[in-house]
Amino acid sequence: MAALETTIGFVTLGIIAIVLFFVMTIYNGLISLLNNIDKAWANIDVLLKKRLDLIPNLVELVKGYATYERSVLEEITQIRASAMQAQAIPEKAKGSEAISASLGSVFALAENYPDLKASENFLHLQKELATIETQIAQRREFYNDSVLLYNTNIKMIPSVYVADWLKYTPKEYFRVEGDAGTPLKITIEVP
Amino acid sequence: MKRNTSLSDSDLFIIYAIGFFIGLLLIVTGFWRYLVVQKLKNTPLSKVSSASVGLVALAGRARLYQPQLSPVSGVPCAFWRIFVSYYKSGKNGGWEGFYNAASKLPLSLEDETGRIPVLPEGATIEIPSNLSFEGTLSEQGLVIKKPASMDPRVLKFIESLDEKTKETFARYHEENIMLNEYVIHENDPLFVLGSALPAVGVAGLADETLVVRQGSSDSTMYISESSEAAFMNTMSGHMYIQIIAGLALSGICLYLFLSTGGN
Repeated sequence: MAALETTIGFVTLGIIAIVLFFVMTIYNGLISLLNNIDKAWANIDVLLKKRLDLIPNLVELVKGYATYERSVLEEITQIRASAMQAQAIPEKAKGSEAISASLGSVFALAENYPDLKASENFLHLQKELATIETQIAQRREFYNDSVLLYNTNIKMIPSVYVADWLKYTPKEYFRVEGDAGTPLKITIEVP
Repeated sequence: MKRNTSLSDSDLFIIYAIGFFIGLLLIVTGFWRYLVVQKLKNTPLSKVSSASVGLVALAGRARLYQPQLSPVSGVPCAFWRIFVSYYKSGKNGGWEGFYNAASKLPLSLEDETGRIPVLPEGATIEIPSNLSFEGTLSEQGLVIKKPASMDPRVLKFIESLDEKTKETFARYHEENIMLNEYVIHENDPLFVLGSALPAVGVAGLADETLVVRQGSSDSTMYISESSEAAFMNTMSGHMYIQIIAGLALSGICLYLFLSTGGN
């Protein structure tokens, strides 16, 4: 009888240790998921900033060739200024989408100016911006996967109890309206 | 409880104590697997081109980074591993490994967005055996105990080893040995969970930005030919078996240990 009681005592201690272990693992897992989201967002943000930094170069280049397309260039300059002010992720997503659309307009108008289209600087900028767009799309997918994992985890049992205790709330996705994130397609014609 | 007259109380103590600690070991390794499964669940699959520094999970196809042939079967491969064990007979018998060698060259993982080198050193590699041989080495050469045709490739492999390693093999010349060769062929499906780190200072990877390898702060490194989901299911299955078996074994042994102590 004493052996049975001692065994039950040890088993009880073991169960308490296992529960503490699971709570610790859930907490560490949530921290890991949050860090993944931060890292994924930082990797997108750096590309968004790089794209914004290239726009003034593009505007100056196009101005030199397409003197009468002021409205398009002013529009992209204004959109760039708004995008730089954006803080929250939904605002940045909206800004990013607007930038992509404006860049599309600029590259479309370049079709009317063969000298501009043939310019090496222009081609280089166009290629760089296309690469950035593709990378943003891929990193956005990874970021949204990370957010999905986190948002699902904080709602599932038993993580939901730890998440509620720590007051963790769902994170925003980086959503782009319309075509669900396919990158801006830019055709480069080599003269 | 009826006393087992062939074993004394002290023998039983030792057996139950060993059983208890084996049970604890199973529990600990089971929980360690649980931590790995959690890492796997919490790491979304990356594309190669968007892999960044830190723990990454990648899926794609194996590609040769440098051409190499597997030592026994002689097939072109991205990675090879040889594991040789002998059958230890007796009370605590079973297969015991005595030779373990693996390719140290990097391999590549390729998906639709690009390629990234992978260093397999230190990784837990879950791939099926490409070649399995069981037989006996004798002083006259290879004597086949099993009704299987002689595999000259295995003999050729052993003869190609250095003298010190041959001496190791010679120590087990009377035993039943099993040789397994594991190979990742080019174009085999590949899943990797490891640390993406700058390739600076890694020999042979001067042109690369990142390499996936076992990290110093996070030693998680797995390479598997299964998909991520299948790999996770396998790990989860092993985890449950180890934890449940460990709990049962340690609980029973603890109870018997305490019961025997009371008699």
